[in-house]
Amino acid sequence: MTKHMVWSLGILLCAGLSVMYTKYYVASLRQLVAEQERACTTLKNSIHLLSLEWAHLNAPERLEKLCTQFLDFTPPQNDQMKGHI
Amino acid sequence: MMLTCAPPHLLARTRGLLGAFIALFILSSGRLLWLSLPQKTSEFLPAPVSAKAAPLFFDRSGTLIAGNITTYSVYANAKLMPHKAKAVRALVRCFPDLDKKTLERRFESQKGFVWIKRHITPKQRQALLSLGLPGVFLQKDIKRVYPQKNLFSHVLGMTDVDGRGVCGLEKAYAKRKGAVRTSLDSRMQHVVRSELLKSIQEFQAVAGNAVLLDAQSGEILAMVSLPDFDPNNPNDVNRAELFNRNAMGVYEFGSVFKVHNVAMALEQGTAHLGSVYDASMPLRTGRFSIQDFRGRGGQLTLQEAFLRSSNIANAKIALDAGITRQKNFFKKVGLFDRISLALPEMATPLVPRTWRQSTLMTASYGYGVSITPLHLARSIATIVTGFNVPLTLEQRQSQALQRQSVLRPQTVRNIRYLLKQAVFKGHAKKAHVPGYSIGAKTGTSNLLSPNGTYRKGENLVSCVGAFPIHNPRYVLLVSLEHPKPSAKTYGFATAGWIAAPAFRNIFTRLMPLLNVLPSKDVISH
Repeated sequence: MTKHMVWSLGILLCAGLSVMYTKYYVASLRQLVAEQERACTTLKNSIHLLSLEWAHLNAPERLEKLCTQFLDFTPPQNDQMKGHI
Repeated sequence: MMLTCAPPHLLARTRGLLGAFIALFILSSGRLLWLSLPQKTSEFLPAPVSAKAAPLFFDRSGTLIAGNITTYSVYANAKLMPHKAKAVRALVRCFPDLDKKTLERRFESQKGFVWIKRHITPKQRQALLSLGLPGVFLQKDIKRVYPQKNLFSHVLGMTDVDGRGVCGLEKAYAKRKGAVRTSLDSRMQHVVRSELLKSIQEFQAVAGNAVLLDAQSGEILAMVSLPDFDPNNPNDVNRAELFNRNAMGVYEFGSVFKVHNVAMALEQGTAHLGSVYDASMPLRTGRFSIQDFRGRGGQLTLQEAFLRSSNIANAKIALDAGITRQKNFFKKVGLFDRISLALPEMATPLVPRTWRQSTLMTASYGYGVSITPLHLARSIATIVTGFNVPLTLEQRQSQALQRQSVLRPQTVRNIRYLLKQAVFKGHAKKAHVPGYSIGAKTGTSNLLSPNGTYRKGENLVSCVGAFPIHNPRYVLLVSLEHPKPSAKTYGFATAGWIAAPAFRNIFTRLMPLLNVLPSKDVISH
């Protein structure tokens, strides 16, 4: 009876400890996933912001203005077309 | 065994102690089990605001044309503000555009939530945080951004301060998730807009609009209506700028309707290119008299009537065809239907309820029937290709499209020939782009005032055409409202002098973008 009880208590203790360990391990993994997801979203937002900046910097109106101002470029004329681009 | 040998008082103590340990152990195990059960816990880190509140819009080459950025907005809980006057002074110093009295009034209301300023800059956010004002809080927000500013204003529309679409595609796709790949091309849109703007400035026009279609797929490649607005600053937009002429404006387009009239006669078999009409005398209908812009025409063939843009001859062509044929043809090329497009603001054509003899004649040269520029461009695409293709603002694969043939190939060939001749011999000479075979027709019409009378000297000048005319792929329509004559136009404010050059300038700049080489045959022609 006593021996069985000691064994049972031992198994119960081990089970409790393993459940506790698993729970905290899962919690730490969840935290890691949340951090990674947060980093991903931040990165995606940064990429999105860069895409917007890129689109703004490459806006045809802006490029045309800069080309005219600094490079003396003008839109190509039809007789300049000698082959397919 | 040991317990049975021990004295009874020790045995009782040992059993008590063992019981206490077991109880403690059961409690600890129970607690462990309890902790291991899934519980309602908050996220370890607050979820960041994702910049996907409204759909992202891209042009056909993948350039972002509308996106979102995460910003911060400032609000206050007036109940938690111990020193309101001090807070107001500090806030006005931080945000000079805020009105001191308005802020004081809002804080006096003792409300739990009061907006102070939406979408502040990172610099302003830092300045606000350094103030450390109690009762003033920051909230993550999403701001809609249009990197090309005015370029797509009427097509994309704009959102209000809360990011809700109020017009254009923003309103149409408000509930859509993910990205939208539009049929528009940034470069083509820019070319069309800048050339239209130049023409408006040169001829001091009140407004202008242009549409570029892919006639094979029905995709709208460029759509510009001027004056336009910067959707990044919705508070600065006025009603006149919001008006999308291509979708909401209904106009009588004048002589460009002669394309429809001649196509109708050729399609119905009531005339052929050699049919002769007497245009020597004005044509009377009721109390009106139909005259030609350039004097008496004499005996004109259908081809000459088209090239000289004779109102009299075209009215006679329509009289030969009759009301039913004209109405059926206009319906067939889609002049009476409301265009089914993603834009929420689409106008319905204004068509007379009763189609009289006078309507038959005036409609033959572009009066009496008011349509949108999109209707005109679509109907020209139908006439020059022979197919009815629904328009779209989303990218579409033309191979997968089911095209419905509506015109005989012979009619289509004749119309292409006439449009090409109009560029070489007719009023659209200035639409000619050396090296390219373009077909076009110009039209000048009187603008209507709100009370229904024609405004004298106020014209709508239009030029519509297709390229390459032997197998049309692109259809372009350019219109300018109330342009002023100049010495350069010899005092004329007509389409041939104003809209046709704008049409030519647009196509000249578009050709390299469309990757089309000039042909020596066409140059020599």
